[in-house]
Amino acid sequence: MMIAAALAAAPVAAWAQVDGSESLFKASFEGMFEAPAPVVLPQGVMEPNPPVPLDGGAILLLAGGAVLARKRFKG
Amino acid sequence: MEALSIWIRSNRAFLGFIVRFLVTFFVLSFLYSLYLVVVKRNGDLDMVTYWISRLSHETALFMGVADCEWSCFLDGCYVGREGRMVNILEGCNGLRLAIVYAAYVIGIGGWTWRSLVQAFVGLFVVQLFNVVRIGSLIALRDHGGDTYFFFIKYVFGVFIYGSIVLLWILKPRIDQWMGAK
Repeated sequence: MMIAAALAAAPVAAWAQVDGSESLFKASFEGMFEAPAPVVLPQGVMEPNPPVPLDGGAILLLAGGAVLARKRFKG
Repeated sequence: MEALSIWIRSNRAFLGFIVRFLVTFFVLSFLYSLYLVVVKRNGDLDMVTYWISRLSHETALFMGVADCEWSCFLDGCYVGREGRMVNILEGCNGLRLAIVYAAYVIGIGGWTWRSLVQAFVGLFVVQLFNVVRIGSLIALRDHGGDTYFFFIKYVFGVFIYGSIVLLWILKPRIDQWMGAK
């Protein structure tokens, strides 16, 4: 039923294009089937990282956790 | 040899903690590193740094930094007023510290639902401390003067590590709140 309706509508759509409303018809589908352009983040814009390890404190925190747990288990 | 086996027997609970603590830390760190590799390969900025920068920007605005700008690139974000911006890199996002926090919680309590909830909530709480830290840093940078350098070098380091140790010390109380005996 839907296929039949689509077949019937196709000549009408083709006529609509010919009938001066081509630009309107085209505009309604403008960009509909085009993939959006990917957003590219700029690289190398920022200053280089400082020479110190930024997460160096994580090792210190691990050691602190072990000491705290040792105290807790002894208690 | 005999002394070692006696020591192991008498410290079984602590050794169990060490195993759980280190295994959780390395597994979570590995997963995070894997995520960073995938993100970098896709030519994108990791979501943790993105959200920490974004929320720090909001915090700085709340603290009264007028015309506070925020722009992200592949290797991090810039937040602050033009000419006085703070550079937020992946290492500043605090997730590695939050992973240490979660590893401790699981190390102490084991793989129970109570520990998992605490570890999960703790990740957000530590990040909240981190957002306040970076937001204050942006406000201080905007204010000008040498205090910024003093704070970035000493005060904020102590603040973020201290907040994690404080949460660890409060853990028995949090366990009680959650109905542990």
